[in-house]
Parts: sequence; C-alpha cells; structure tokens
Amino acid sequence: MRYLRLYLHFLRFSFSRAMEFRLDFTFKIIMDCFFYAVNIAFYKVIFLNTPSLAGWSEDQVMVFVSSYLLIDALHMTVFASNMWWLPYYVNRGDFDTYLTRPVSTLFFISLREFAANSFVNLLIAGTIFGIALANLEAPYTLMQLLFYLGLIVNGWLLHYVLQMIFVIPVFWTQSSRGFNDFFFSMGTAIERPDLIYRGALRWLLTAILPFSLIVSFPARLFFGPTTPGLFWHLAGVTLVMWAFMLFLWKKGLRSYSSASS
Amino acid sequence: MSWHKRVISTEIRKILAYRSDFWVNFLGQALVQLFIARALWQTIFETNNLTQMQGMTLPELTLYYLLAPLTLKILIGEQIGFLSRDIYDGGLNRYLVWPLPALGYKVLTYMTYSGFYLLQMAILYSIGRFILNPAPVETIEIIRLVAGVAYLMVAALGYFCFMAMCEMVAFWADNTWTLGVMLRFIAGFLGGAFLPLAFFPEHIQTILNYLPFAAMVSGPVKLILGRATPAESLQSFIVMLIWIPILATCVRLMWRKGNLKYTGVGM
Repeated sequence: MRYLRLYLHFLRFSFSRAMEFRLDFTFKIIMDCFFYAVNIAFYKVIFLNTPSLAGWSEDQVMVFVSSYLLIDALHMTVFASNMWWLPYYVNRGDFDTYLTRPVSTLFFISLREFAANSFVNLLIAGTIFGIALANLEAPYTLMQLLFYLGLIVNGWLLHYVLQMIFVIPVFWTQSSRGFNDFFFSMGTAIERPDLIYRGALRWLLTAILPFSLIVSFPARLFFGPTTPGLFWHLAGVTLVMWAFMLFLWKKGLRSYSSASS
Repeated sequence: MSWHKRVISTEIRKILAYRSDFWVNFLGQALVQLFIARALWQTIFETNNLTQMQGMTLPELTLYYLLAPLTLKILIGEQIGFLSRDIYDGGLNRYLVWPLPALGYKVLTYMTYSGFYLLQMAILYSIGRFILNPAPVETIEIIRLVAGVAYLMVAALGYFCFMAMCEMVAFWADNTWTLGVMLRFIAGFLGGAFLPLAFFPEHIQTILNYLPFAAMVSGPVKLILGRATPAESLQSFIVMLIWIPILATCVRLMWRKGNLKYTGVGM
C-alpha cells in the first residue's frame, strides 16, 4: 500500500513536469508515431514481396507488429526514462541519493519517472492493436484474447528485465553506452517472428537472450495451435531471467563505490 | 592546421576511452543486425522458393545488410546532443576564448566519428566480402570502394547538416533529441537501411530517388556493391550535391538566428 501511494506521487510529479515542457511533450509523441509508422510500413513493404512470413499471413503479422508497438509503448511509459538515467546516476555518484531512501532501491530507480507523453502513445498503440485485431481473419474467443493480453503484460515485464540486464553492467564498466546500443540492436529481434531464426541464433534468442519471447511466443500461442511446451518455455525462461536480473542487481549494488564510480 | 589534428586525436581518444563499449558496439551491433536480417530474408526466399528477389541473391542481400546499417552509423556520426547540450548548458561560451570556430569544430568532431566508423565498416566489409563472395578482388572493385569511401564522407557531411538543424532547434525549444531520433527513422527507412529500396513500389522509388536520404544511404551502398551503373551512382551523387548547399544554407541561417537568442548562461 505504501508503494502504491508512492507510485501515485510519482505519477503526479511526472504529469506536472511533462506539462511544463509542452513542445518537448509534443515532439516525443510525434517521434513515437514515426516509430509506429516505420514499423508498420516495413511489414507492408515486405508483404508486397511475399504472401506469408514464417507461416503467418499479413493480418496475423499486423497483430504481431501492433503487439510489440503496445509493449514498446508500455515500456516507454513506465520504465524507459528510468533505465535511461540509471547509468548517469551510477557514473556521477548521484545513485547515493537512491540508496539512502527508505524504500526498495530497485523499485525507486525503475519507476520514479513516468513518461506522460508516452501515455498518449500508449493510447495510439492500443488503437492500432485494436484495429489489427478487428482485421484478423481467424476467429478467437474472449478467453483467448484475455490470455494473449496476459502474455503481452508478461512480455512487457520481460522487456524490462532484459534491459536491466544490459544496464546493470554500468556498475563495473562505468559506461553502459555500448551495452545500451547493443540492447537496442537486439531490439530488432523482438520485431521479427521467432520462426525465422534457426540453429544457434534461435537458441540464443529464445533461451539465452530471450528477445523472441517478448512478443513472438505470445503471438504464436494466440494464433495457435496452443502447445503447452511453448507456454512452459515462456514461463520458465521468464522466471530464470527475473532471478538472474535480481542476482546481477545485488552484485552491482555491492560493487558500487559512490561518486565517479 | 594544427588544431584540426589535435581535435581529431582527442576525439579518437574519447571513442576508445571506454573499451568495453567500443567492442560491444563494434562487433555486437553490426553482427546482430546482420544475422537478424539474414534470417528474415532466408525465410522469405525459402517460402517463395526463389533464388533471386529484385535482382538480388541471398548472399548479395546479406552483404547489403552488412553495409546499410553501418552506412547509417557513419552518417549519424557523433551521438545526438553533440550541439544541443552546449546550447542548453551555456557551453558555447568556451568558443569565445578558444582559437577555433564553434561550427567548424563541431563539423570536425562529427566527421572524426564518421571516419572512425568508416574504418569499422572497411574491416567488417572485407571479412564479409570474402566469406559471402570468395572471388578475387578486381581493379574495378577497388575503384568502386575508393569512390564509395569518398561518397560516404560527403554523405556524412550532408547528414551533419540535417543533424545540426535538429540540434539547433535547442536555441528555441527545451529538448531536441527526439528530432534526431525521428531523423534516424526517416533516413533509415526512406534511405534503404531497413529495406533495400528495390522492394518498394516503383512510383515510391521514383520519389525517393529525388530525396536526399536515398542518395545518402542507398547510393553509396549500391556503388560499393556494384549494384548501380556509373550513371546511376553519378545521378544519386548529384542529387546529394544539390541538397547539401540547400541544407548548409539552412544551417548557417539557423546558427546566425540562434546565436542572437543564445544567452550564454544555459537555456
């Protein structure tokens, strides 16, 4: 309850701060719209050259695309700004402030900034997702849809965990720019159906750095046939990644040596 | 001439300062993009049971995807914020006492980054070229490579103009990094870094050929890979040469107007 109250304070501060910089607020919304447009256009052009992709038709791929746009919007709204600042706090020693607060440091550092502009984009991404679902030719039940939405939430949290795994090395490397850039490159893997990957690359993206589990596995479970193995793989890897991130975080905190670390 | 050399060597030292960053960036980014693109196109080739699409075989397309993202990286050069940070923080003040022009300094640091990434591209291209196409290098290919390098550096200068305009909006607005990101999306997609332009509908290709992005990204890549005739390469180079003075004039205008707004104590 204390954490919920604290989070509501974060929301209030974030909205009032966002309203102070209106032009910045608008630019950010437009930027995300560009991101959505480019991603949709990418697959529209692909489907001018092929009737299907990894066994999915165009309407299925559009549901897949809109799902990762939705996850991206959720991530940008809740976590992204916080992830962005963490390396700077560690590098400049500002992280001390967060360590001294009487709440979980991970909670505070992950959720303090709520991106109000991205909340608008979340509504846009939600609309795109709704349109894609409406155009999906294959029938689905309400239960299937709710199950899919649950998996999308899981994908969103997994996205956060993976980004944290790429940010936490800043405690040892002093700069996480390389890792951060690498994470964003890996982000492309989220935007492709997992069935295109084979061999070592497939193993890497579904087990070691499970970017394909964020959207592609949930989409496969939604489009069917639902295979329990796929679900348990998703659940198992997600739990392992959470445990690994928490382990890494604790190690990182122990390595932190304050100012100019 | 001495300050040019000192600026270049300082910037190279900055790039190499964080070694883990450097290696993760160098190997990770390029290879990840390449493997993902290759997997996507391999699936499409196999689904349609084709050996060529839009005149490109899978190894040719793979080489394209090795070069195109690296080309975008060369164009982008220095990271977003290379000029806007100075505007916000009042950092432009130091150029009052430094014996060098502010904008000239910014061009040089930007081009140093571009030149450095060009070196990365040369290494990765050499490796990729011999794995995907083990045929011996001919004189014509060496000429193409040299021309491609020159083309890329001019293209980086053109992209600098775009970036500088986005950054200089900081004279009037609170935060401008979003403009740089938007520019990256537009240049990447309309320039052919995400998808070769040959896969776009023909009427759209015709329009894109007159915009600077295709001339900056797709133009040099096609030249290096030998996928454009000399006439086509010359045409896209000319398109870029027409755009650069227009963009440079806009940069100078914005710089002049912006300096009048600059307060010297941070914005």
